[in-house]
Amino acid sequence: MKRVLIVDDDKYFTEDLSIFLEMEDMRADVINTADELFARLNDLSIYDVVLLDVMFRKGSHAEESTDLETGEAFYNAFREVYPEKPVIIVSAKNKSEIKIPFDNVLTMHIRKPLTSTIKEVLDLIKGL
Amino acid sequence: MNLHVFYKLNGYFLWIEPDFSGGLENRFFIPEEKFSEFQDGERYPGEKLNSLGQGLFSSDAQYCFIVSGRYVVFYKHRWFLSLLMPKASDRKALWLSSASALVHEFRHSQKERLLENITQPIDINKYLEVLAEYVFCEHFSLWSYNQHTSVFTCEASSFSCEQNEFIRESDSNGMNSVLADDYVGFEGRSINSGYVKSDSLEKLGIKSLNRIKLSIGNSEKTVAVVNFYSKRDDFYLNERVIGRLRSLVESKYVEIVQVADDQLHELSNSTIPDIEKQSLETYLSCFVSRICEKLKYEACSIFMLDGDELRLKATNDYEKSDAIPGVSYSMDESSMTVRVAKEQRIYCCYDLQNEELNSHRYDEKTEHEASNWIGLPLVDDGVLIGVIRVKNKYVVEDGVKKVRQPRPLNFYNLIKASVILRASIDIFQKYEELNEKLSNQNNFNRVLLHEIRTPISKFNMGPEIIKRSLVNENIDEDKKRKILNQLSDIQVLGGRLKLITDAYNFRDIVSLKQREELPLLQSVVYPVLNITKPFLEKQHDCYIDLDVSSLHSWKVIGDSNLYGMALNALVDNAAKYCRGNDKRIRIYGRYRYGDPYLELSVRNKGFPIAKEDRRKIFDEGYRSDSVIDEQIHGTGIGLYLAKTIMYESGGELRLNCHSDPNDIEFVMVIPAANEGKEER
Repeated sequence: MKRVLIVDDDKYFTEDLSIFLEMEDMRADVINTADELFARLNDLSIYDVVLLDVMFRKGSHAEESTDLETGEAFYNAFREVYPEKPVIIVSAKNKSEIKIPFDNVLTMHIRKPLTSTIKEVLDLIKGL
Repeated sequence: MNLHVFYKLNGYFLWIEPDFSGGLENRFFIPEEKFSEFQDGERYPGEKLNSLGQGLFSSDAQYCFIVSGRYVVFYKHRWFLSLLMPKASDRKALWLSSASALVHEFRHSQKERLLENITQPIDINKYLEVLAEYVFCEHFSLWSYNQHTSVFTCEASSFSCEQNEFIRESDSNGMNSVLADDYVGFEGRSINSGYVKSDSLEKLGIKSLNRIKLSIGNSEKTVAVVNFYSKRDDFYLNERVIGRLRSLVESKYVEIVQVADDQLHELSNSTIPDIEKQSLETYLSCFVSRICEKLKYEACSIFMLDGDELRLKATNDYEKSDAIPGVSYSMDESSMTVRVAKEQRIYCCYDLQNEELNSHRYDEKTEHEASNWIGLPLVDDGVLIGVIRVKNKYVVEDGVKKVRQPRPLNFYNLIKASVILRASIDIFQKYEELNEKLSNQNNFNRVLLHEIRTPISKFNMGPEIIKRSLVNENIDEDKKRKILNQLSDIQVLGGRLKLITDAYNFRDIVSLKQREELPLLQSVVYPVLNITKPFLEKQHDCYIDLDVSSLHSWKVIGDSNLYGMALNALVDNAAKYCRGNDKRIRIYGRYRYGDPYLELSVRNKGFPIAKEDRRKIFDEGYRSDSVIDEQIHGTGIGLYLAKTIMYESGGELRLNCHSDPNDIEFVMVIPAANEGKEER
């Protein structure tokens, strides 16, 4: 059973996404705030893949002054600890607008909103 | 042939050589009064004639002379003429006729030479040289006049001057007095009359000056002044010649204006702002380089008004910021002038009160050293936005300042270039404004999309989840509950979507506002909270503490939809900008029977609002630095929307400050119906 971490401040979305993933025999955990996210940075090795939103409120763990969105700053911190872990950026932003290097197969991008069956997410996760 | 003809010209008699040879320098000009001791028809010995000092006559010969109004003719007596023409008057007529033919031929040859030269495409210097020679003047100069600054600038001259020795542009005794006199036509004055105080001219031996004012077309405005200088005392051209010269120089001036226009066109093409790739600063830097390259100025600087001070924005002057040592600028708002001071002494002002650019003039002087720096104010709709200055004329060679070969109408072009510059700056500023608006609009759209993506996702995914749950044969209580939750969420988010789209179109909705009596709780508060409360509880973990018992069933006047939008905006903001662990949002009402207004407060723990921001937070699109730093995305429209709605409804939106800076309270002050009519 694949373990998936969903990082997004939209609780309606994370709830539905979790239901879908569980229907597909996956186990999904959710983090909704930056504070919790940065606090758990070193405990994320258990996950097979991270679904990461980009735009959400900055927490107290983030750098004081940065042009990066919270999700972008977290990605950088995450990659330092987990260079080999797959990350799917799930964002309303275009790929070109996101300050994350999509230069390897382990970093993917999906535009929000998702289709009704979240097929695009499931295909990516199953393909890992 | 022993015949000497002197042609009367400008108070002198000019000796005409039989072969018309000899340059201007070698021609003999004899002052008219020297002939006063000679009588018509008399004979004089050679020694006497040589008193004219020209060495033209042999000392042993006897000569006669004949005077007419225009010529003096000396001839050698010949015996056969006496035989042929025994009457003296016949002989005089013969010589006079010969002299007249000679003079005519001489003038004809002069005119032919003039025509031959001026019909060539020659430059202004050569052109004026030919004209000067035609009127027997040794030197010339042409000065364009800038009506914006009352400054004369040398466009062409037959001589170079060192440093400031020639006519000063700012010299009140110089050509400025020509304009003060406003003369049109001939006015000859001695060089010693105070018109020109020039060591250079004295070194050249100049003693007389003929000055002709030029205008173009039907305009009486002076555009330039041309000077013809003579080394002879009181050598003044007559009005007929002045008229011809004026017409010839004016026509050439039109030609060089055309050339200057072409140069300007070139300049204009090379300085088209690339607003997408350049910043204003980059453009200004390019502009100063182009100005110097195309108009042949030594250096250029552009100053822009920043508050009350003009700041250097671009320059290619090697002296950089010390372009004019000791010169400073200040704005005087009472008199609407830019004052230019040197060493704290004001000696030049730009008058901003007159809307006509022509009216912007210096007070007698330029701010610059004569023939060195010239400045033009950049004025947009009567408002000074900057100053462009150029340094011209001098080049430094081997440490010595030398006059640069002037280029026709470079100053004329500078004036027009300043217009291009103003227009370009205007384009940049408008582009920046447009960019800011677009950026705000993009940001607004982005946040809007961010807001609506939650309902969209739910509408996409919720039905699928319900469908999959229902196809399962075993639907237990837990599944039922989950299905109901999904349906409830869809309902709430549908309501949210309506509130979001209403906020997007709130201006249209405000314009169609209703004005009716309505129960505040039933028509406004409860419908909004039915949607917003469950949403905020789930999405932001916020808890709404509603205490509106004091309002029970009081009625208000207005539009329920608009009040609902205002309340939703305040509650939404409270949740979004909530700070700390206290997630409670208090909504409570205040009303006393008979009061004209009801009050509905939305209060919670949020970001402190600095004193200076308390007005700004109601501006459209305003977002404080603290919420931007926190990366809380928003449109900056919520408070503006609520304020506008309350104002349009005859009430107001108030911010209440408390001792705890995090304690934020917004109060909707709503007009009560009939001073507090109660719904029964």
